[in-house]
Amino acid sequence: MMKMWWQRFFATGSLAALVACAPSQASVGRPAVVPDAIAPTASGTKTQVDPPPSAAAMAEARHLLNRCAFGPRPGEVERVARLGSQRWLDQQLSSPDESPLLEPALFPYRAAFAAPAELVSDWLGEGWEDEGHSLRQLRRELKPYYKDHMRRLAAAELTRDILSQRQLEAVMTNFWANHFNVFASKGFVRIFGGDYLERAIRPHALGTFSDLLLATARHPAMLLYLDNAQSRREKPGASPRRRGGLNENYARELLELHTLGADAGYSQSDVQEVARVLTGWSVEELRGGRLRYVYRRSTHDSGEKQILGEAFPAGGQEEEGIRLLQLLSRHPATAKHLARRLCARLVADVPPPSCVDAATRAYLASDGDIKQVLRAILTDAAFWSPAARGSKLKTPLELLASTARAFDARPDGTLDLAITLDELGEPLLQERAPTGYPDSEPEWASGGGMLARLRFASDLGQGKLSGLRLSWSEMLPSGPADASSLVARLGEQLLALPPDSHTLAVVRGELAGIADADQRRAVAVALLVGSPEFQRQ
Amino acid sequence: MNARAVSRRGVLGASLLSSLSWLLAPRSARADASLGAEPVPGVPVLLCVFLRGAADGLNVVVPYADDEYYRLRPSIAVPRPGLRGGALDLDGRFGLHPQLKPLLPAYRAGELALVHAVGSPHPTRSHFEAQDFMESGVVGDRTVSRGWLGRYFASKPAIGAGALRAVAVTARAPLSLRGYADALSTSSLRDFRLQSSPELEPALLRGFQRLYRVDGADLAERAGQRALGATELVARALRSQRSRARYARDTRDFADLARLIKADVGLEAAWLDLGGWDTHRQQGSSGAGDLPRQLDRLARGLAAFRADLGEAFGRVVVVVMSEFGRTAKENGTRGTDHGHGGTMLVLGGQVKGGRVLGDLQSLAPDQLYQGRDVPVLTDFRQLLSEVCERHLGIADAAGFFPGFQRDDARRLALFG
Repeated sequence: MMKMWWQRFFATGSLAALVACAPSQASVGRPAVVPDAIAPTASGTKTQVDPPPSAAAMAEARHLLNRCAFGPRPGEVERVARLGSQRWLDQQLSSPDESPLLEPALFPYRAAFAAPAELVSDWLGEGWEDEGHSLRQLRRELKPYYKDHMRRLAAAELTRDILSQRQLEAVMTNFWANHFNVFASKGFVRIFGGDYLERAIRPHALGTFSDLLLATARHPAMLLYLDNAQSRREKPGASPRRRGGLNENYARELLELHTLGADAGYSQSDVQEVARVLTGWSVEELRGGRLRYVYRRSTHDSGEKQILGEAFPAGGQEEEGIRLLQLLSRHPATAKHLARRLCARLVADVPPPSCVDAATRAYLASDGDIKQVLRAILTDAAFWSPAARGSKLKTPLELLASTARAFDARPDGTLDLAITLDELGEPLLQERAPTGYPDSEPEWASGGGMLARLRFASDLGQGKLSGLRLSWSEMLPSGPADASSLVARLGEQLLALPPDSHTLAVVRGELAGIADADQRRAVAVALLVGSPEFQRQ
Repeated sequence: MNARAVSRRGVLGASLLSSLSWLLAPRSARADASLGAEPVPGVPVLLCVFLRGAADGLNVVVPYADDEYYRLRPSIAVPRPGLRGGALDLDGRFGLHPQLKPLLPAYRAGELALVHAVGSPHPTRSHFEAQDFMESGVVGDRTVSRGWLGRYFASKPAIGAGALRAVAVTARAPLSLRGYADALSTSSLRDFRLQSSPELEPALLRGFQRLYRVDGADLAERAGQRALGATELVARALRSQRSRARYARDTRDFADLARLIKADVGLEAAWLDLGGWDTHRQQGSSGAGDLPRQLDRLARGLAAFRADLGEAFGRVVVVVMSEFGRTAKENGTRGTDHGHGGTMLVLGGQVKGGRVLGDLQSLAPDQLYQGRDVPVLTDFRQLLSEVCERHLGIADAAGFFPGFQRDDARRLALFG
C-alpha cells in the first residue's frame, strides 16, 4: 500500500522534474525566456524576442533573490529581471502555487511535520498512553527516535528552502522560527518541533504579528522550552517544598526578545507581572497522550496586576493573557524592535535608520501586518542602495540552500542534508539560547566556521557531498570545456557573480595547470562556492 | 607556595626583547611571517571559561553557615558539610559544591581563589546584554563592537613572529576577541582541517588562499584567510603533544587547549564557552539535576587541564565567569531565575588562592539586591584588571576598561 503511494508520488515527481529542468537547459546558450510555474503565461511567449534585460535590472533581480529568496536558481535572475521586482514581490506576497517538485521531494520526510500525538503513536504504538508510563520511562522510550526525527525535520525544512516557489514565505519562516527560537534538545520539546514550524510559524510567517505571537505563546514547544508550562500562581500558605510557583523565564524573553526589546524600559516588576498573567498557560499532561496546549484555571493567578502602566483587574482568566499579547503586539517599542530585526535580516547588519523608521511606521499603521512591513522595507531606498548589495554574509543555512538552488540540486530523500547543515554550524532548532542564531557577520565570521564552508565547497566539487542530487552533465552540458568557458558558465550564470570579479580571475588561473576535465570541474566548483563573494549576498 | 611559578620578570623581559625585535624587523618580513615559524616558549596564558546562561553562584560556592540560604532554597540548597551530598567545607563558612570535588586539591594547594558577590554593576537581567558587557568590558554600552581581549591584542605586538596568540573554542566568534582579526575561533580544534582529497588539496588550498586575501576588507575574508594559514600549525601542535591526564569525551576541548599551550605556539589567551547554565527549573541540589551535571563537567575538565599542564601550569591563569548570578530564592519550579551578583573562579600556578573572596555577609533580605538577588560587591572589571596587569602585563588595566573606576578598597589581591 505504502509502496504504491510512494511509486505514484515518484512517478509524478520525476515527470515534473523533467518539465522543470527544461527551462534551465534552455537558458544555457541563449538569453531566452525561462518561464517556470509562477511566471505569468501571458507575457511568457512574447518575451522570447525581447532583448536581454539590462545589467542594472539583472543586478536588481539578483539582490532581490539573494535577500527575499534563498538565492537564484538557474535562469531565475533573468526571469525576475524581465518580470520586474515589484511584480515578483506581489506574486510572493500572494502565496503562489507550489512547485510540482516540492511534494514528491518532501515525501520521504513527511513524518517530520506529523502532529505530535501521531508521531509518538507511530514510535511507541497506538494506545501507548494507556500503558501508564512514568515521565522517566517515556523519556527513555522516546530517546532512540529523536536523532533521526530532528534530522528529518531539518532535511524537510531545507527541502522547502531549496524547492519551494514561496521563497519569501520560506525566508520569513526561517526568520520567525529564529526570532521565536526554541531549543529542541530540551526535554520533550523535540516531539513538538515540526508542529511548531508547520502550524505555529509558517501559517503566520506573512500574516499578522499578533497571530504569530499568540501561536508561539500557546505552543507546547515554547511553553516547555521557556518553562511557562510549569509556572503557577504562588500559594502563600502551602508548604515550601510542594507549593510550586512562578517561573519568570518566558515572561522575560517575551518582553526582551519577542516583543518590546531589551532597551524598552520595562522593569523587573513588569516581568513578574507578565509571568503572573500567563500562569495557567500550559501543556496537557504528557502521559495522557493529548500533547497540546491547555489553560489551567487552577494554577492561574487571578489577582490584580499592573503591566507597563496598564491595570489588569482581579478575576481575569485566560483572556487577560490574550489582552496582554495584544498590548505587547501594538506597543511602539515592539514595532521598532521588530523593524530593526527585519531590516538587519533583509537590508544590512546595521540597517540605516531610514528603513527602520519606514518599517516601524508601516507596522504601526497596519496593526502589525507583516506583508505591509515587508513592502515598506523592500521599497525603501536603503534596501536597493549599492551599499546594501552583497553586504551581508550568508548564514550557513543560506549558503547551503543557495548553493543547492544555484546548481538546481534536489534533496535526495536521505537525512544527509541535515548532517551537512550541522557541520556548517547551524543545526535546526539547536541553538540553546532564546536569542536564536545571530544575523550578523561578526559572529559567523569565525575561523572554524569559514573552514567548514570551504570544506563544504570542496566536498561539493569532488562529488563527496551527500544529501543533494545534482547532475553535472545537465549543469555543464558542454562537457570538458576550456577553463575560461567553464569559469564563465559556473561563475556568471550559476553563481551570479559579476564577470569582472577577482574571484573569476583567480579561479581561471588555478585551472590553467589542471589537465583532467573532472579535476578541473571539481576545483572550479570548490573555489567558486567557497569564494568570499559567494559567501555574501 | 608557588613552587612551579616561572619567573615573571624573565618572561616579561623575553617578551619585551622579542617585541622590540619584531618592531625592528623590516616591514616585509613582518607581513610574510608565516604561522608557527618558531616556537615561543614560556608565554603566560590566560584561559577564560565562560559559563553561558548565568551560573547559579550560590550553589557553586555555598554559604552553608547562613540559615537564610536554607530558608530561601528549601528544595535546591546544597546540604551542610558532613551531611549526605553535603558541601565540601572551605573555610568554616563556605563550601564547594560536591560535584566540584576535583578542584579541591587546587584549592588546598593555594592555586584556586573563589570570588562571590561579583559581577557587573549594571542592573540588567538580560543574558545578552550582560554577556556583551562582560565581553566588551564596557558596561552599559551595547554598541561597543570590540572585546576587551580584542583590544589587548590589537594594542600589543606578538611575543614571537607567526605566533597563534588567541584561540576561542566556541560555536561562533565571541565578542571578547573581536577587534583582533587574527584571533582564531573554532568549535573544535581537533577538527580544524580542510579534509579534502590528497590530489586536489594543494590546488584547493592555493586557490582559497589567493581568494581569501590578507588585506581583505571584511571580517569573513580575514577569518577565512586566518583559518587557512592556521590549520597546519594547529594540527602539528596537537600531534606534537600527548595528554598527561585523562580527559573524558565531554572535556576534550580542555585537552586540546592544554596541547596547544604545551606546544609553545605563542598562545597568550584562550576562550572557552560552556553552555547550559540557565537553570530555571529542576536544577538540583547535589547529585541529580542540571546544575550538578554542568559543575561535574567543569570540574573534571579543569582538574585534568591542571594535572596535564604540570610545570606549564605555573604560567597559566584560568578565569571562570558567567554573565550574572541567579535569584537567591528558588522559584516555583525548583530552579532559579535571573539574578545579579554571581561567582567567579580564578585558578593558576601563581594565583594566591586557597581563599574565598568577596564581602557577602548574609543573605538576609536587607543584604540582597532589590530584596531578591546576591548583590554585586566586587566589579568583575576589578578582578579582570588584576589579572590583566599581573598576567598580560597591561600597565593601566583600569584605563583598559573604559568607564571603570577602580576602588582600591575592593582589591582582591589575587596574586598577593
